[in-house]
Amino acid sequence: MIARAPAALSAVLAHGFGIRYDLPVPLYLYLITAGAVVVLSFALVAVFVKVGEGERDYPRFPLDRIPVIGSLANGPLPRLFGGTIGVLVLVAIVITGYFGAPDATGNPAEYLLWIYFWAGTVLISSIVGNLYALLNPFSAIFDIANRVVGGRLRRMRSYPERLGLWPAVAGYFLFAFFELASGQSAHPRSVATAAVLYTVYTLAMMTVFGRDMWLGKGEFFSILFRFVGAFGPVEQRDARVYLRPWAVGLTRLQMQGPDVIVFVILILSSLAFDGLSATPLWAGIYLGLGGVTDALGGLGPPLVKGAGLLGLTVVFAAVYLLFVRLVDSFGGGRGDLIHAGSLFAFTLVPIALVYNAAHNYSYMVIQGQGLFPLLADPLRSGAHLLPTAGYKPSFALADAAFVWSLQVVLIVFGHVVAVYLAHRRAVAIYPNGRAALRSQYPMLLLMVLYTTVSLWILAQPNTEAG
Amino acid sequence: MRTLITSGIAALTIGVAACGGTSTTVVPGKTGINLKVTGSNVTPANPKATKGEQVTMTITTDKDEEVHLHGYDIHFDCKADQPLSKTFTADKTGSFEMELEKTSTHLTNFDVTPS
Repeated sequence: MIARAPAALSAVLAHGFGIRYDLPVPLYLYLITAGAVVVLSFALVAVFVKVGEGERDYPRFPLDRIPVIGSLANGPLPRLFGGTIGVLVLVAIVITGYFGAPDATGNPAEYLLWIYFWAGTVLISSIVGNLYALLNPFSAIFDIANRVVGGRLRRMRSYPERLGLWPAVAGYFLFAFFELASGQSAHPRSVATAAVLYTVYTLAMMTVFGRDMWLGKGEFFSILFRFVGAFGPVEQRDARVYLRPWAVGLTRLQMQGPDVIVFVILILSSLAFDGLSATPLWAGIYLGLGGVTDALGGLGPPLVKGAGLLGLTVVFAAVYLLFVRLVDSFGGGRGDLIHAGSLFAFTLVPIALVYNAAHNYSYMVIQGQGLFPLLADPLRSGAHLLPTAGYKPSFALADAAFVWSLQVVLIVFGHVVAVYLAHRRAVAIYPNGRAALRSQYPMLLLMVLYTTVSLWILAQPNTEAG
Repeated sequence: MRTLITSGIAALTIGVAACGGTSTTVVPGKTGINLKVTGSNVTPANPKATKGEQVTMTITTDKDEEVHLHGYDIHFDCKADQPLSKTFTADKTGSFEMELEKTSTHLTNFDVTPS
């Protein structure tokens, strides 16, 4: 038992690294919120009976109607500025990762990748719009290289259509594996190596298949942020920038195919696994598999956790398709699971986004401050670049009572938005209002299920060994 | 129906606000926490306090160790088998890591719940 204790401990630290963790949402709050979710769901359906209209385009406001801001937004400056930041951060991750402190909390690469990029940019993109399209360091490096060689980087072969988004699905899974299962995410040298490998791979693929083709099909960050950014209010359409209400942009995503469904499910399942891997339930399973883990030697922990991530993804996908089948037959659809499954998949994105925000909020506002003192001496070489060395993180923004309230309000909000989007979709694809409404009963149940799982994870105590 | 939703959200918000609002009325108490560290094991595991309490934390280690309470940033420079006490106010809420500083070994978490 004692020999296995460190394994359980590393489960606690699964998501990136940290010094302060959220307290579990108390039981009474969990029950009140879960009840509110169920009541609200049915109330919403009753409201929607009267809506009964198809999925129209939503209102948009062209930004170029505003003199200065409009021309700035449509000009080259945002991308120039964003690309510069993106490349600088990528270079900083590689240099500090290789040459900085060997421990996670003392190395800027860890903060930049896991907090500022992974948790932070996803969150801000869901509030604002696709920031990654501006920041993307890989396309920026490619564009510079292409300019240097006089625009001669033409694609060498055409992208095989049958591959669809599968390369991106594979990339996303490997990234989630690296973060949550590999045991390497808190090792700065590994973070730097991953960044170098991914940069080389992405540049090579853009050279072979063409920049835009690879960004649209194979580069999983680009695809993920396109989905996340669709929730935000800033929209780029036909080379013009618009403002729209939040969330409705998700109804514009019309991609089809099993690869699309799996990609969206992976957003939900990898986030859920991040939360789940710090619960006593997972610690129990993990300790129960101790014999298997030990038998596999050094590869044991990553393989068992990777199997957990894969298993959860398969379960999520199976549950989703089962419910889509019900939705489609209740709605009188064509019985095409992939067609219906692709259309409804994007309506689940809000549930994932609010869980991401609820799960990562205090991690970002507390642990994120840990970067400030490191900026004074990023490589731990005795430098004094900035007068921030003695900075102590403030805990003011993460009082536990406030965090609990924020978490439950976010979860309920995401649920309501998801129910609304699914209803819009149903009205657009099923023959009449009544059929569309009927189709939404199973959908509602599915969403209550996802939302309750999110809440349940937030209410779990942090795992302790022993 | 719209009013039903609005009142539902309002009720939820009030409920949440009420839970958060009681924190000022509690008179701060005192808590003593005695931790015994053997290797990388600590008993009792997962010590707890309530926000605002005066906490006196006493740590006894089996060898010379530096124990770091993160978040509060308190260091215990322990000599083997000699109890060392520090008193502080639990003014930050959350679950805070305690570790053996020299080897970065996680010991347990110290939980401070809202009052």
